Amino acid sequence: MTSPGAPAAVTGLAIVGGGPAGMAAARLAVDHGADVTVIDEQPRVGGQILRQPPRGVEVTDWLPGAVYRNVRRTLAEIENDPSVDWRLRSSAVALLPQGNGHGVELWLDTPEGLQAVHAQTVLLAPGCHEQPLHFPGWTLPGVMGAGALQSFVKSQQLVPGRRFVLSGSHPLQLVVAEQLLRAGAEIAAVAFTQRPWAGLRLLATPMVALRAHRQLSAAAAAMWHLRAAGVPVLFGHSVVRARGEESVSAAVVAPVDADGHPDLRRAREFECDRIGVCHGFRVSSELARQAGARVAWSTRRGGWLVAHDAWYRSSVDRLHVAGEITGMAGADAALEEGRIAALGALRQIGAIDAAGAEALAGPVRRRLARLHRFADVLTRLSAPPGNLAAHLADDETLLCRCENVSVASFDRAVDDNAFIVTADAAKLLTRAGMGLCQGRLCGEQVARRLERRRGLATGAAGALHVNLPVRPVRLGAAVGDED
Amino acid sequence: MTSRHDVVIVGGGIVGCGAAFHLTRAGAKVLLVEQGDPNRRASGQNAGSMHFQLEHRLLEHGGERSAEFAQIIPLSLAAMEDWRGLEALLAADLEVVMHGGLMVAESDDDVALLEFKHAIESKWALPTSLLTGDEARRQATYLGPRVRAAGWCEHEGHANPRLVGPAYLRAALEQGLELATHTEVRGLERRGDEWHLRLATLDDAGHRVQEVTTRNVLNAAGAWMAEVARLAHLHLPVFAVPLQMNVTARSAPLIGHLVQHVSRRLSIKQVHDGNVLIGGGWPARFARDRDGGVDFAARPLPVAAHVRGNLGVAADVIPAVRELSWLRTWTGTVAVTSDQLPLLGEVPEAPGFFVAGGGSTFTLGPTCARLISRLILEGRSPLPIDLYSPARFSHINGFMASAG
Amino acid sequence: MSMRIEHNVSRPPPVQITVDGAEVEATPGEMLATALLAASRTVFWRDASGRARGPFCNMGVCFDCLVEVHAGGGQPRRVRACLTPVVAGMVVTTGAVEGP
Repeated sequence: MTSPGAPAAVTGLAIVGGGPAGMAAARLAVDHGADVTVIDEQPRVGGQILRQPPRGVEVTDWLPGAVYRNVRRTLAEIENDPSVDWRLRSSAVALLPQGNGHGVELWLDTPEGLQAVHAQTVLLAPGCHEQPLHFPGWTLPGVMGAGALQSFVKSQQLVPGRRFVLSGSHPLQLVVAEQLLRAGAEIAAVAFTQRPWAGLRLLATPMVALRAHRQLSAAAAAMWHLRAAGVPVLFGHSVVRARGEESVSAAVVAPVDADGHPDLRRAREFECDRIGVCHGFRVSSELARQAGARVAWSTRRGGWLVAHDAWYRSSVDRLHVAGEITGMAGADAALEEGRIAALGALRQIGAIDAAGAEALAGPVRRRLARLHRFADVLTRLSAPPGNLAAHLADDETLLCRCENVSVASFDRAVDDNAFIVTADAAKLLTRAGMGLCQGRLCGEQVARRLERRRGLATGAAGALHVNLPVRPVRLGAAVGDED
Repeated sequence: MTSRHDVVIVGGGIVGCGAAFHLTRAGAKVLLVEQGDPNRRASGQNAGSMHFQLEHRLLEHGGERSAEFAQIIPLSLAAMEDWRGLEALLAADLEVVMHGGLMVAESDDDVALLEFKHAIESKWALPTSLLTGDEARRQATYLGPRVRAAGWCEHEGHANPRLVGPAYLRAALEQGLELATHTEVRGLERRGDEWHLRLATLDDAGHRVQEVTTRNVLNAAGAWMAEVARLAHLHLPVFAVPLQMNVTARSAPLIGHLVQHVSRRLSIKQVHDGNVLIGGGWPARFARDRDGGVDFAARPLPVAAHVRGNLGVAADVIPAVRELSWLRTWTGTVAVTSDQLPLLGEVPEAPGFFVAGGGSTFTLGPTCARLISRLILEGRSPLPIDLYSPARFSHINGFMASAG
Repeated sequence: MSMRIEHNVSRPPPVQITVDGAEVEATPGEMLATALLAASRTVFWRDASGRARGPFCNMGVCFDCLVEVHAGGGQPRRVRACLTPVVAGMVVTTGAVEGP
């Protein structure tokens, strides 16, 4: 595609996303003789859970925790396999099913320009991104996702600030706070939106599940360590405002009730230069939606999840899915889903017969069922209060940070145009969701705010339509550069 | 229970909303029926060009046909005036800018075509002029060295298609318009001198069916015009054409005019917010349903080669666009008549059944809406519109039992 | 204030890059966002209203870590600092105001 008219590269199975699901699928598919291409935006595979240091940077005892054990084993089994066609630092920006069994064309935005890959079949395992919180000051430099802070530590070996406040509803923030603390940062406070009784509910879950759930036990250990270090861990609290002129200088933290309503009279300020928000994740199903795959909304399990059958086939021919985009369930479940999806894809291209696939899938399915039960415990525990964002945002808060659409201007447009009832129509009218992030950070809030003002049920406003490219591409790269 | 109206408008695009505005302003009792959300199809999805020079699609079939297509010019001249007054009329910011438009030429053949086009336009009194490549680049410094000549029309420009339909609609609602969204017309039948419409509204509870009667029906359903007409036992040669368009992320001011190409498919402009819209009539393809059949109702699918083609022409003409971010490609379905001229008037075989649309419907939309409203209200249009009357297709309705 | 972790980490020799006219040491292969934070830059760009912006997601989603990289004689190119590896001699501008 860099030279227009040049034929696309051909592969058997193209895997989008080199995280746990993609790596496990690649290993299994290569072992069955398939031609495999793996596409990932990062310079090294591993996904967000294993954001690796740059090549040339050596870290002794990197990510020693039990949480990382299985995914690290899979990484070691695949990363240096030369039989995989690795397409790193590449974004899959369009997915074009060719119909009638003719496979799928993928467009990749690479450092060498836009390139096409023609695959017999495609496995989408793009993972998820963090769910933001729209509160006053959330666009100020220094406010980041907790996972963003964590990946600076894990991958870049950087403590990305001096003094941190973490706030959210997901236990991950305990792990992040502890990793920052160990790396030399100060932690001013960790605030959970959940009331203290949510912790009691955690204790009421079967102890077997709790012990086996590596993420939860890691969070519990981190909490113990933070408290021992004198870090305040507050329950029933949320950051309600970021203060600062050019970047964060303080976090205002206040008690919130079960609906997410803050009690600002009891607010207090924590001096800090970074705020990490941690409200869980939204699945990256944009490419699947762009290709026309059927999705269903789940607030708790990660947003617009891609529907699939027992072999993780989506509703689009030759489009398989695995990992978080089928519902947030963590890295260990993603590994197993990647394996089943790979078996489904191998069946599709005739690299394995039905009986062979079934035999291999059996034990994987049993492990997966167990992991899904644990994941359910975690997602139930980490759900943020339903209306937190609606209660926190003030008139000047940016609803869409790309297009600078304030909450007040969005509400005014919605009120002035009573005939608008879908998120897509609200986007056309207000520009919220039209910018560079293509609605990933605001699309959900656009729908929720519209629904609240119209008195509609959650989900009634529908999803923002996803167009290609699913990430912006420099136009010169798209048409073929002369340079 | 049935309700009675003076006019039922089918289609909530720019023409339907515009006609709703004019008709309610004159005091008519009007119901507007829209199958989805207002302004969500081609009227809200097009690139917002106000193009008055004879465009590529009207020139590509050679001399004789192009001269026929020039019949669109009287409407274009009226449209210039309508657009100039529209923001004041609706008391709304529609991001209307009329800073002129260039139609560029790259090759010898292009230059000859531009000269031919200019001769026709002059005959029909469309104010255009010819510029050399250097003159064009003085006017529009962003044009690249490949531009050899350009046609110039100072009245061309663009408006924000996302705002125009809603502005008409808000004003019409204030004037008493009744609006039924997510409502399909299922039956359309003439009894005596009244039309009876069967409407099905889709809501959470399922379908709600109602009957309404009206003296007049305005079919402004765009790509669905032929389908709506068929309910009344009428044929209209209007064809749904799936097109695709592209937009870049916002950037600093770069392109100060509407730019089109005389022989390649290109229309490019920079809008109020800084995005550059790149289109020009590149086809998309119809979606397929689960059985592999064609699904005309679904959003059409973009064609990869046409994305590259369209962006490539843009980069040839305006090299600086290479540094912009291609943000989105989207598709929409427009309506084009068999002779590429608009359909505007009453269907002779079906008194009280009016049609408006069918080609360049954004540019000509405000004018079509105004003229058809006057025709419905007063029995005549202030501007001769016989050239665009559906009477020119009466031959195919000779076979239809439309008289009921 | 951000700081590179030294304990248990060995890095290749640093390279020089230019940030807003000043020479800055950075690790080859680390992301530009890392080098900029380590050099105490938090304002990566400004929106049309002049509001300061900086990295939010650190994974290529948010487009709020945009900086200008100058290469050759052409126009500067806006890139996501979180996905752009440091190369010796890079010339970077932060704080550019977005048009229009």
